[in-house]
This record gives sequence, structure tokens and C-alpha cells, in this order.
Amino acid sequence: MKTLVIGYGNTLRSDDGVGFLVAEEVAEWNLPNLRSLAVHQLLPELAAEIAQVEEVFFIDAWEDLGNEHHDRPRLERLQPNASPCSLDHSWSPSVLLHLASTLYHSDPVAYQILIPARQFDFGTSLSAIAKDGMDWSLNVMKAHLTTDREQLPCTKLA
Amino acid sequence: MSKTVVIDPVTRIEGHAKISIFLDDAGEVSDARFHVVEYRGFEKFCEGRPFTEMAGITARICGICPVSHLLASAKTGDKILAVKIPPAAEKLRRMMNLAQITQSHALSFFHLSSPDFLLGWDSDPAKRNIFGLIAANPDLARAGIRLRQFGQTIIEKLGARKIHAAWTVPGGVRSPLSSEGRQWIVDRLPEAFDTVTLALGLFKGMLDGQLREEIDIFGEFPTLYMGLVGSNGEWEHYNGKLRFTDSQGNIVADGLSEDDYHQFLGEAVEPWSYLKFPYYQPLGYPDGIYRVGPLARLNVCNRIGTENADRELQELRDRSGGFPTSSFLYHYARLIEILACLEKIQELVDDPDILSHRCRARGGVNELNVVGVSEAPRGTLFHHYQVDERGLIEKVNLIIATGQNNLAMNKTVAQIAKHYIHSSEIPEGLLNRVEAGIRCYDPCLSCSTHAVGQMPLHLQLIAADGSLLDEVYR
Repeated sequence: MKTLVIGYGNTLRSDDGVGFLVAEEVAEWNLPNLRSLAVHQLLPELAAEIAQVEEVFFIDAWEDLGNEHHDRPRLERLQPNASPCSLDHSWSPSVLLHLASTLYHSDPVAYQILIPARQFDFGTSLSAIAKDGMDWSLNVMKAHLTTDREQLPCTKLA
Repeated sequence: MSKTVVIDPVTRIEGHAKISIFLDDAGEVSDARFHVVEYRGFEKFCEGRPFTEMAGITARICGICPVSHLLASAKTGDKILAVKIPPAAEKLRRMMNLAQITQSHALSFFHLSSPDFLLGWDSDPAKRNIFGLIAANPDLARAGIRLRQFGQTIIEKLGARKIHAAWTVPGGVRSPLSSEGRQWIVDRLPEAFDTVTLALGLFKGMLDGQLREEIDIFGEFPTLYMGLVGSNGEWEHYNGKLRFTDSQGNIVADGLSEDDYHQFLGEAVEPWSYLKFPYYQPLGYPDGIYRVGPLARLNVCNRIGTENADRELQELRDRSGGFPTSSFLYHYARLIEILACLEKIQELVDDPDILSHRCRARGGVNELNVVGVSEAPRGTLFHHYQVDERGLIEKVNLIIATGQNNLAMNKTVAQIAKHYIHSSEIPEGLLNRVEAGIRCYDPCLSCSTHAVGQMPLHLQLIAADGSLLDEVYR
């Protein structure tokens, strides 16, 4: 099974770049049938990359919103979605999956790992909670990719 | 009762912004403003850093056009070193910028703007997007993605990474193009030519039909135009001197050096926007309004210098009575520039220098106050650094293309709003036209974070007393 990992964010904006850093570290593993892309943001041509694999992981920072605070990373199964509001500068994973399905008739198993993020100021260091989330993400993916690659238990289906 | 309509944020542009439309007592539009509500602060962040890090840092301002900052920063670094970079390095940098312009213009035309053209301003907004485009014209949608991928892959083959490549450095570049990379470009060029030829034919057909009115309404007003031109007045994107023309095509100023930008560019600020308002200083603010970017580059040059792009440029001028002035024609100009980029990439892959390993000059800190310039997809980009004897940054000023179009974007929004809006009842299709006026310029307002600031379209109707009359999300 071919797997693609896409981690995204801006590494100059502290926790915003945690997904990017995860993808960089995954690339260092040099595992067979695994490709890892660290990107600033999700853009349409990634649909062509997604179309070439059977499994894809999206890794992203997860900000606190209002009274909603996230202490632990979340692993979700993703489904294609053509939400029109996601078509501004930041394409969502679900929209890319929809694009891969529509343009290339490819529907890989897709996961999203959301890592809690607290600080977005200019800087290159991660908060403790983002660092913990990064470690958790790497452990989960390494266990999955180096064993039988059975479907992962998810928090929810997004 | 006078009212304000707020569109917040504008969709399908880079970054975050909102539009306020002011209605008078009679319900007619009195004015409109395009606000940029995201503050970047990159200039302060750079202070104290070695100038050699500036390319990598400024490239992370944006995920769409990092190469533009890489090149402007590297050129500024060349001047700090006071070195002349090897010819191969200049050709390699040029190739990367041509690829960058190609992929950025492809995103703007095929994915952000063509749904409006092909599906109609008044079509269902839920379908007026790339998926609606796929349903209507799957071959075009697929070709647009392939064209963008073509530009991105050239960048990757040159810099080893698609974005934020530290390949471009003060003094040159780190490595040449590989033979394998050169062959990949040669093999994929014909398909890229086919795509842009298809898009040009399609768009010109629409300008003759359903999009004829937009030319007169979307940013049709006199301004100056600014861009780099070569030594013979030809289209430039990397080196050259700055030229201003007026709306009749007369040259207002020529042979200007970026070193003297503070003598001909002023930067105004307004309390309602974080984006600066650059203007041509001899005419003052706001009369010194000027436009940069694809249409401006075509308007300041005498010719492009490649066969097919020059033929398309002449047709654009013929269709416009000699000199195109409507911002709606930025879309047309983007396609011509893609064609020009492909033709110039073709020339470069045929040049043996492109494989040369002599591509970097080295030196120490020799100049302390320098300005670099290049043409980004959206227009002229200035980097101004002041460094100490150790090469540590003391002060940075970045003049970005989108900022230079700020006055024109505001004027475009007002022109569209005044033409289409005549009461506080504003159909969705009209709001879309106002947003599309901004999208003509393909503004990039920084997407420096992606996790913060995502929000749906938000419309507000606010009375003169500040009370909220109506509010719509989509």
C-alpha cells in the first residue's frame, strides 16, 4: 500500500508549522511506499499526488476557538467534500480529496491528525502542547506504517 | 438613512480582507473601501538576522509566491556582497521566476477566476467553484492543474523543494539544473503550450461575448503603470530599469533605478487598512495612483521578445484601441504572460549555460544600504535592507506588489459598486462582481498563518448610527 503524508503550516509562526515539522520528520524515516510532503499550504496540484496512493494523512495545527480548548491531538477519518467556502486561499483536505476523486477517480483512505496549537506569533519554537502533539502523531504513524497498516481507530469521521 | 455593506472576508484571494460599501440616504453607493485586516510584521521580525537568512525568511511570507521573495532577497544580497553573479546563475534564477509566474497565474486564472467566467456571475455560489468548472469543462480543469504542476515542478527540480527553497542565495544559486530536470521540462513544454493556447482562445471568445461589459466596469479608469523593462524596452521580470507610462501609453519616467525608489515612490497610510498605499511621488497622493502586475508589465514594455507572446500582445492592444486600461484585462494579460514565460523557458532549456556548475560568486559584506527588485507574478517587488558591518539586518522595508495596487483596487471596487448596486438589497451575483473586481489583481495579502483566521464569507449592513441592520454568512 502506498501512503502519502502531507504536513502543512508556516514554520515561522510557531505552532502553525507543527504539521510541516511532522512531515519533515516522517520523510527522514525513508520507509518503502511512503512519501511525505511538508508544504506551506494546501494547493490544487496536491490532488494529483493524492491520486497516486491508497492512503493519505493530513497533519495540521489545531487552534483553540472561543471556549473550545484542545489538549490532545485528534485523529479523524476524512471524506471528500466540496464545501464552497473552503475554496479561498487555504484548500481543505476534504476539498483536495474531492478534487482527486472527481478529476482522477481516486479515493484513498484518508486521515487527518489535528495537533493542538496555542501560539502563532513569529518564532520557530513550539509550545509544549504542540510538541507533545507532534510526538504523539509521529508515534501513531510510525506504529501504523511499520506494522500491518490496518485502519486506525479514529476520534470521529469528518 | 445611510448604510454600510461589509463583505468580510473576500473569498478566493490570498489572505484576509473585507470590503465596505457605503450607501447614501438614497440607497446609492457613495464610496467603497477595500480593507486589509491582517497585520504581518515581517519587517520587524527580520531585524537582527544575518542578511543571508533573509531569502529563507521572507519566502515564508507566502505559500503562493515564495520564489518572488527569494529572488528579490537574493538580488539584494548580491548588492550587499557587491558581486556580479555568474551568467548561469542569472539564467537559472530567471527560469525559476518564469516557472513561478506560470504556476501563480495558472492558479489565478484556472482555479480562482474562471469559475466566474465559465459558470456566470449569477450562478449558484455553491457550484461556482473549481468543481463547477470540472463539471462544465473537465478537460480545462485538469489542464489547469497540470499547468500549475508544470511550474511547481520546475521550481522543485531547480530548488529541490517546491517552496521556500534555499537554493537562491546572495551571489547566485547553489546548483544548476540537472540533465534529467532539463529533459523533463523539454518533454512537458508542448502540453503547457497547448493549455495556454486553449485558455487564450476560450477567454478571447468570452471577451467578445458574455464578458464584454466587464471591460468597461471592472477597473476602467486612468492611472499610471509601472514595471521593469529591459535595455531596449522589452518585457522584463528579473533585471532592467523601472518605467512609468500613463493611460495613453506615453512614457512618464524611464530608466529609474530601484536604488532611488524613495525619490519616486511615496507610501501613504490610512487608518482603516494595514496595507500601505504607495503612489508616484511627483503626482502626490492619491493622484499618483499606479498599477503594477501583468497588465502593467505589458503596458510599459515595447514588446515581449518572443514570437507568439508578441503576437498575442499586439492583438490585446488592437482589441483595446491601442492601449488596454481596464483591470479586467489583467486576466488576459496573465495568459499572455504564461505564454511568454513558456517561450522564454523554451529558450533557456536550449541554452547550455543552464547546466553549468559555475553558478555562485562569493564575497563579504561590502555595501550596507541596498535595494533589490524583481517582478513577482502580481507586480514589482522591492526589498530594501540596511545592515551593519557584520551583515546583520538593522532595518527592512518591503514594498509588495499588492500594496502598489491598493489605490487601484479601492477605485475598482467603488466603480463596480456604483454601477451595479442601487439599493441595500444586493443580490449575490452583484456581491460576487464586487469581489471579482478585487480578484482581477489576484492580490496576495499574506497567508502567513493558515490555522488562524479561517472564516466564512460575512456580510454586514450597518446603519449610520453604527447599528447592525442585517448580517449574512455564506
